[in-house]
Order: sequence, then structure tokens, then C-alpha cells
Amino acid sequence: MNEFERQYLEVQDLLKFNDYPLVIKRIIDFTLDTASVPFYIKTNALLDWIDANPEGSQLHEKLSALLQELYDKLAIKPIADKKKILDAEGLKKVYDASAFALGPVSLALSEGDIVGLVGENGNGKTTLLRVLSGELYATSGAVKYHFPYEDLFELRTKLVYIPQRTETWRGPMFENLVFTASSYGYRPEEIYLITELIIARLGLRKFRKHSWKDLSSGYKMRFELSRMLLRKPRVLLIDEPLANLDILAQQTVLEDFRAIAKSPFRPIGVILSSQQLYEVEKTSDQVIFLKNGVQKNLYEAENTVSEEVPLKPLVIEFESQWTQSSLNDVLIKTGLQSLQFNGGTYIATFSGEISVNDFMKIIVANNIPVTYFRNISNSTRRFFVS
Amino acid sequence: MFDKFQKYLLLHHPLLWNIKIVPLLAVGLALHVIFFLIGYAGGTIDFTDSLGWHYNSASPVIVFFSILLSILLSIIWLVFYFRNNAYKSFYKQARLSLFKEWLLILVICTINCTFSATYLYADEARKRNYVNEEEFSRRIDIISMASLFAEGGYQDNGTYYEVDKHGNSVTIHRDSFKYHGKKYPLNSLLNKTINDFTYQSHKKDSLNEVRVKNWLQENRKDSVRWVMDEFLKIASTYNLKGNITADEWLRLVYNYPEYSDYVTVGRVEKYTENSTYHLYTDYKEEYPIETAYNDSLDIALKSNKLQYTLKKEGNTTYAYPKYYVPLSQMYKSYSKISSAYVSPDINPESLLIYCYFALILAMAVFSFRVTSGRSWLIALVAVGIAGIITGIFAAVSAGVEFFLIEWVIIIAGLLIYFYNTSYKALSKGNSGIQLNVLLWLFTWLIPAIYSILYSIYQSIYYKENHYINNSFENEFFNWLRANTTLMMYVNLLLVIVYMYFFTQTIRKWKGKPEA
Repeated sequence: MNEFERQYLEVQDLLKFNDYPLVIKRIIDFTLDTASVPFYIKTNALLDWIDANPEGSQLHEKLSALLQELYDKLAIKPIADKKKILDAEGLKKVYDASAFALGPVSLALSEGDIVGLVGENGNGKTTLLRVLSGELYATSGAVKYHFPYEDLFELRTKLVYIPQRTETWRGPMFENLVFTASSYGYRPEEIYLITELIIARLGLRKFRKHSWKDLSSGYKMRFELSRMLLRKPRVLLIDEPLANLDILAQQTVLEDFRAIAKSPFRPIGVILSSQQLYEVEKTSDQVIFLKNGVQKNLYEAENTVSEEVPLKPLVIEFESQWTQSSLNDVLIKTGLQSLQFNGGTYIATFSGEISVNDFMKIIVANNIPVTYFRNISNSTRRFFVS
Repeated sequence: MFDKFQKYLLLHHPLLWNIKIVPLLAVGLALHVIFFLIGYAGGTIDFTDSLGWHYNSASPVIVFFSILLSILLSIIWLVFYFRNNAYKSFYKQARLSLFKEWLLILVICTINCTFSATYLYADEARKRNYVNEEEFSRRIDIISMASLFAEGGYQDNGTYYEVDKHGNSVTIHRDSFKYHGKKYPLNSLLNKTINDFTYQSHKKDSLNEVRVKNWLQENRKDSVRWVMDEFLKIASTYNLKGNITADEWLRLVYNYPEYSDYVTVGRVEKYTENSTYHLYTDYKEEYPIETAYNDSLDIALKSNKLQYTLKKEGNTTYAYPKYYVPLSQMYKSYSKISSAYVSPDINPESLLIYCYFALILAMAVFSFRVTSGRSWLIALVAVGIAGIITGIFAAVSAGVEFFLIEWVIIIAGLLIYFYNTSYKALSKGNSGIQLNVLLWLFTWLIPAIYSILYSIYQSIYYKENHYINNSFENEFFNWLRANTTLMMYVNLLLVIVYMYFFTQTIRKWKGKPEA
């Protein structure tokens, strides 16, 4: 089963459970994968029909039929192997004016990969993104881009960097997007269709005619994303995309990133920075934690510096009404290495042989009241608390 | 319709859409047509008007409005144009895309800045279009020759200055003069001047006076009659009439061989109250000729008297002599046409001013587009300060040439520095400021070098003329002197060539890291 077939089955499941908004999004993704004007027209017609019949009873059948057609078209479309897009080795950036220095940072990015940059404010996330996007030069080390480009300008057209504070768009949103598409050499007959699809993909159909100042920051971010999609970048570098979004919108945007990055036919590399640790970790293939500009990695990777010991300890974050000493007395019997109290939560570190289930057994056996717990052994959360 | 065009361009040619070329061309060309029509209407000549050189008071108001409209249109255009910037957003750009964009800006700025040129051109074109140039040239010759036979001035007033044997200057009065070896009384027609036109002296050698006086000497009455007849025919095409026929005119003035006994045929003069033209306001009904021609008092007195009939129409008074032909009207109207040919306001030199103004504007807009508002402003301040400093240096030292030399060094030095250092550096740094200055000042590099060469040669020329007093024969200097306009036009072309390469540099420069 290839990546497309796997995703197709996923969408079939969504359809089975009548999760129509998500199905529509994925159908749009598949439609864009076809790169075929007849399909663009079909999907747009369906979107118009949905607008006209919000409670339409034939929706399920229509979606199902279109999905089948898309499958027939895409199942025979060859899927290229995922290639490496860029790698950076020993990247350092020193600013003349300040004492802050980024690096050394090493990372590798392949098509379809999402790399999350986490770290507290002022630890170099934005600087790293700007270096990778070509906006800043590396004082030492270098970024190698594994795709052809004629000059630096052309390189930067292929690296889309969306800063946290984006520039104001002037004029109607739709017009801006059509201008982008037109500048990127889409055929005239497909420009409107593709723009409409991408707008619908990011849930912006209602806001087509709006102006920038009438949009909330969440929708501004989505418009930036839709513009980025039209630009067909090799790498998307995005600074704090989740800031200013409510928890639901965060989930949606991250899910969108996943779908965009992992497209079987149009995969791109995504590097995003965020403070939303768990959400980013859930979505990313690789997380880079930056502390005072220095990289700390969780996972072993060929190009990254690892600080891990061979047998990983079990680290549990939890909340309980018990005091630290009472907890310590109980947990010490099952290989507790340390117990820290950290702003309302406890961080318990056990030796590597202990599993999460072992931890739960102790909790139940000793009737310890727990309101929340999380296994953070594989989370950069550990770097924040230690 | 614009919408349709714009939509088409948005899909097919995003650059043309973004620069709003279609609405701008439509509005700009419409305004040009309007200004042309206003100018063409304003260029109409009232052939019945003998006042002549009145000043077109509408002209400065219209030019002012054209400037106001240019500013307004430019602002509206910039607001729409600045909405999107594909280059700054790192959208895909073809290698020559920036060059095309600059050319389009130049075209738009030219359209925007030349409304007054169209107006002034139309005004003059209307005047030139009354008759074709060949016919015009023929007609002014007729008018010139006919003017000999109407009221007018004399060449020789009989006063000569001679040095006597003591070396003193003495004034001698004679009552005759010689023309081609023959003696004539001072009031002879052969002593009269004719009205000529700037066109004649400018475009060809005028032989009219010699021609007509030779006819008189040779008693070619038919030729003289022909001139009078032609003159009255031309006048009648404008519905201008005298109160005599060609034959009557001939009888009144033609008196071979001396041509001194004739009745003066007058012109029709008019003047308005409140005008500064008060010279004749105390016309009497019978008026001696001497007041009209102070310079030839003696001759006039010996001649006859002009009788005027005054007619008042509104606040205009017309002075009709007893016998008259419409010479004033014809002469003044055709003089206007003549100056429209000889010294038009819109000529290669004045067009240069328009071209360079448009170029300066285009560079200002383009440099703002490709760098940033911040570096644009800093560059402006830097150039201003450099201007003051170099100005002070020049003032305390050699003068204008030194100032120009300083700037040639600055421009050339900056160009070399930019390509050699800034362009090769790891980041852009402050090279955005340098880029602005280079975009603005390169235009002036060649004119500045030209001016320096010119001043150097000129100073040599004066030196030699003062101290050695022989003519300065230097082919290069003569070439420089003769070809200033050509140099400025060639420079425009060179700026376009320069921008062809420089815009490609700017595109690559943009890709460099910011810091």
C-alpha cells in the first residue's frame, strides 16, 4: 500500500463517520494532486453545490462518487521517492550588536517532513528560521539546498518564510491570491479554479472578498498559508503559526500542515516554531529544542547531536494532591530516580526499565489521587522543566 | 470594459495588471486628448484682430491644471500600484521582469508628466495647420512685399555722421539717398522698409525687399499689381477687406520713376481702453502722419497726411484711414504662425526637459519599489548632505567644474564600490542606500562629464580669444557645442541600456541575506 492509498483509506473512514468538513478538505487535496482542470471544475462545482444546499441530503453520495473518481485518477499516478531538501551542519549565527549567538545547529529536512522548533522566547527560533530561509547568512556552517536554483533570488522564491508578524495585504484577498497564482505561471484557465480550491481548503470561502484589516489574526495566518500553497515552495518556514489561535484552531492548522507536507504527490518540507509543545510534538517528525541558541535533540538522527543515554529513563509529569514526601515514599520502591515539584505539577523520573503501565499500577495500588498525567520521556517538555 | 481588460491581464500578464497600465493609459490618453483639444482650440488665430501680440492668459492656468492633474493621477496610480510587489515578496520573476517593470514605470511617468506639452504643442500645431508650410512661405513673401506699398517706416532718414578735417564728428542732413547707384528723394517708396517675418530670416534668406525694389526700379508695374492682387486675395480668404481694389491701390502709390509722390494707404489699427496700448488714444479725426512715425518725421511731413475715421465698438476703437488695406491684421496673424514655426514652445530642447523629468520620477518610484522606504529616505538625506558638502568645497575652490568633478568621482566611485564590495559581501548591509543613489545619479554621469569637458574647452577658448585674439579652432569643442541636445538624447538611451543590466543586478542583489 502506498502513501496515497493509505490516505485514501483514511478519508474513506472519515466519510464513513460522516466527518464531512474533513472529507471535503482531503478531497480538495486530492483534487489539487490531480493537476487536472476537469477535476478542478468538478470539485469547485461540488463546493458551490454545498454552499447552495448546506443541509443537502445527497452530500454523502456526491462526496463518495467524487472520492472514487479521484481515486481512479490518482491510483495510477506515480509517486516520486521523497528526496532530501536541505541539510545544515554546524550552523552558527552571531550578531555583531548583541551577545546572543545561535548554534551550533544541525538538521536535515526531507520532502514531507515537519520539523518543530521549540524553546523559550529569545532562544533563537526566529533566527534559525531566518537563516534557513536565506534572510540571514550563517556566520559559520552552511545550509545546503538539494534542489536546483540559478541564483539567490530564485532560491528565495522556493523558500517561503512566513514571519510571526506578517505584512499587510492590500486590496481584496481573492485578488491578491489570484495575482500570486498568476505570477507563478499557472495556466490562465486554472488560476481561478485553483485559487478557489485553496481558499476552500483553508476554510476561507466566506472571507474571499474581505480586506486584511477585517480579518482576525487566525484568518490572516490562513490566508498566508493559502498564498504559500499557491507558491509551491520546496520549504515552508513559519514562525509561531499557532500564536493567537484558539486551541481548536491550533489543532486544525497543525492538521493542515500535516496534510500539506505529507501530500503524496506534492510533498514539501515544513519547519515551524512554536511554544505549543505538545501540539507541535504530535505533528512533527523531528523536534529541535533551542536553549540560549544551542540545540538540544530528543531523537537520534544521523545529522543531529544527541544527548541521549542508551536506555531512556521514564519521565512522567503528573498532578496530585499528595505532598512531595508522601509521593516520594511510595514511588521510591519502584525505581524512582528523582521527583521534582514544578509549578503545580510533579516530574517523576524513573529508571529505563519502568514502563508507563508500571507507573499506573503503582498509582492504582496505592490509591494516589491523580488529576492529570503525561509521559514526557519523549517530549522536549523535559528541557523546559529541568 | 476596464474590468474585463484588467481581469485578462491579471491572468495572463500579472505585471501589467499590477502596474495598472490599462486604466492609466485610458485616463492618461483621454487627458492628453482633452489637453490637445483645449490647446488646439486655444491656438485659433483671430485673423480680424490687428492688436496682435496679446498674451494668452489662459495658458498658465491650463499648464497649472495639467500639473495638478499629473500629481493627482500619479498619487492614485501609486496607491494601486503599491498594493502588490511580486519582487519584494520573492515571487518567481523572470530575469528581465524588473527591467520591463522599470520601462513601464517610465512610460507611465512620461504619459503623466506631458499633459502640458500636449497642450502647448496643440496650440502651435493649430497655428501651423492653417496653411501648409509651402503656401505659408509664399503668403508671407506676398505680405512682406505688399507691406512696402502701405503705411510704414523708412530706412534712411537722411542723417549722416562724418568726421571733418579737424577730426570732429559732424552731422549732415541730406534730402536724398542712393539705391543701386540712383538717387531718390527720402520719401520714395524705395526708401521704405517692409514687414518681414521671423520665419523668413530663420528658414531662408529673405530677398523680398530687394526683389520688390528692383521691380520698382525696372518699372515692372504688372509685378507690383500682381503682389497687391495676391495680397488682397489672401486677405479675402479670411474675410478681410480694404476699401480699395488692387488697381486703385496701384494708382494711389505707383509713381515711376521716383515713387515719391503717392497717397499713403493705411492699415487698420485698433486699440482697447484699459489696455497699455495708449499711444494713439488721442487720435484726432484728421491726424498728421508724424505722430505715427516719429522716427521719420521729416520725410512724413514732406509726404501726405493720413486721415483717420474712428469707430468705436464696445471698448474697442478702430482707426480707419481714408484708404486702407488689412495689412495689420494679416501681418500680425501671420507673425503668430511664423513664430509657431520658428520658436515653438515644444521643441527638441523643451521635450528633453519633459523626458528627464519623467525619468527622474520613474527612478524615484522604481528605487522605492526595489529597496525600502527606509533606505530610500536615508539615500535622499545622504545625497542632500553630500550636495551641501561638495557645494561648499566647490564654492571655496574652483567653481562649478569642481563641483561636477566631485560628483563624477562620487558616482563612478560608488558604482565601482557597489560591484566590487557591497555586491560581493555576505549580506545586503547598507547597500540598499547605495542602490538608490546609483539609480538616481547614474543618469547624470555622462551629462556631468560632458559639462566638465565643455567648461575646460570653453575656458581655453576664452583665454586664447582674450590674449591671442584668434579664433579657437578645435573640432572637438565645436562638436561639443553643436551637440548638447544630441548628447542628452543619447544619454537617455544609454540610461535604458544601463538599466537593462542594472535591473538584473538588482534582482540578484535582492536574493542576498539581509544581515
